[in-house]
Amino acid sequence: MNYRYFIRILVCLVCALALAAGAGYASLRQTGETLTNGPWRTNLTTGSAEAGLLHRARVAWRGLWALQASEVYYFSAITDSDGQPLRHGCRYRVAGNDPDTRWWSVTAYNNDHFIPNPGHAYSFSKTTVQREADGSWNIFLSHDSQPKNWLPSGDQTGELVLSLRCYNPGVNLIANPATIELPRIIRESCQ
Amino acid sequence: MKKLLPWILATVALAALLYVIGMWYLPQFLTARAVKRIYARRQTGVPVNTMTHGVLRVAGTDTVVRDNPDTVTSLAVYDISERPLRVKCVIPPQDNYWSISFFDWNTDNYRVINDRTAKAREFEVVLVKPGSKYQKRGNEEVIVAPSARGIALIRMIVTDRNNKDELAKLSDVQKKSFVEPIADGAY
Repeated sequence: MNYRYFIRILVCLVCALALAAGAGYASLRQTGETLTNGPWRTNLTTGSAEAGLLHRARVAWRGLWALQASEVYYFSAITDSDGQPLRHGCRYRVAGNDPDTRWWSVTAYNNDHFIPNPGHAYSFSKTTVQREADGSWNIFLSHDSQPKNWLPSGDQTGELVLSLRCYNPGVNLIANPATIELPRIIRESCQ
Repeated sequence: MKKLLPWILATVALAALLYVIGMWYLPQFLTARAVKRIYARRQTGVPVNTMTHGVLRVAGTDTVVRDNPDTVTSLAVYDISERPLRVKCVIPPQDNYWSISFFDWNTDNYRVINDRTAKAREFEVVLVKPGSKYQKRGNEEVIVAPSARGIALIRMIVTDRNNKDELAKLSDVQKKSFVEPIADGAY
C-alpha cells in the first residue's frame, strides 16, 4: 500500500515537472509580441517593470537587458512581408526609407546570435547603409554575396531573424507604431 | 478513474506552480549565466562593483542573445547591500546615441539616462538600495534601485564598426566611466 502511494507521488511529480517544462518551453518559443506592423513585431512593455512574468522571461531568453520603449523600439521579423518564414536558402531585399527615429539598424541573427562571415557584416544602419539617389535603401539578406548592402544569412540551419532597432524613436513612430511605414522584406528568390 | 482524479488535479496544480516559479526565476538565472559567460576568461571570477569596458563583439564572442553589433558597452555588476555605489559617467562628444541603463537582477530596466537626457556630458549617479538614508550631494543624481543586486550597462552606438578612428576615440572616452562603492562614513 505504502509502496503504491510512493509510486503515485513519484509519477505525479515527474508528470508535473514534464508538464511545466513543456509549457514553459512552448511559452518561450512564442514571440509574445503584441504589436504588428507588416512582418515586424514588437511588444512595447519590453524591458519595463510592466512586462509581466511571461514577457519578462521571454525577453531574458531572447534579448537580455533590452532597454525600455522610451529608449528603443525593438522590432523583430521571422517572416517576410508575405508571411513566409525567413529561410537561409532564400535571397531577401529589405527595402525602405529611414524610420522616424534618431538612429536605426537592421541585424540578422541565426538562433539569436550573429551569423559568422569573414567580413563581420552583421547589420546595416542609418549610418552605414548605401542609399539610392532618393535616399531610400535596399539591404540584401542572402547566402551569396551581393554588390552592396549585403547581409550574409549564412548556410546554417536554425531560426533566421531580422531585428530592427529604433533608438530614440520619433513622435510619429511613438504615435503610430502599428501603421507607420517600416521596411518591407521581399523574397526575391530561393535555392 | 474517480480514484485517479485527485492525483490528476494535484499534478496539474503542481505543474502550474512549477511553471510560475520557473518563469519568475528564469530572468534571474539568465542574468547570472550571461554575467558568468561574459567574465568566463577572468580567473578572478565576476567582478562586483567594478565597471569593465568591452569591445565590439563578433560571431562567437556574442555571449548575450540578440546582441547589438553596433554598440560598445561597459558593464558593472553591482551589489549595494552594504554601501551605495557612485557611478561616474562621461559621454563622448560625438552626437551618437549613448546611454547608461540600470537593470534589476530580474532584468527590469528601471532607469535610463541617455546623452540627450543627461544634464551634462560628465555626471555622477549614486545608486542606493530601498530605504537608504544617503543624502544627495551637489549635482549628483540619487537612484533608488528596486533591490540590492543588478546591472549597470553603458551603451555607445558606433556609427561604423569598421572605422578604427571612431572606435579608438570612443574607447578613450569609454574608459573614463567607472563605478566605486561609497566609502565608510560618507553615507
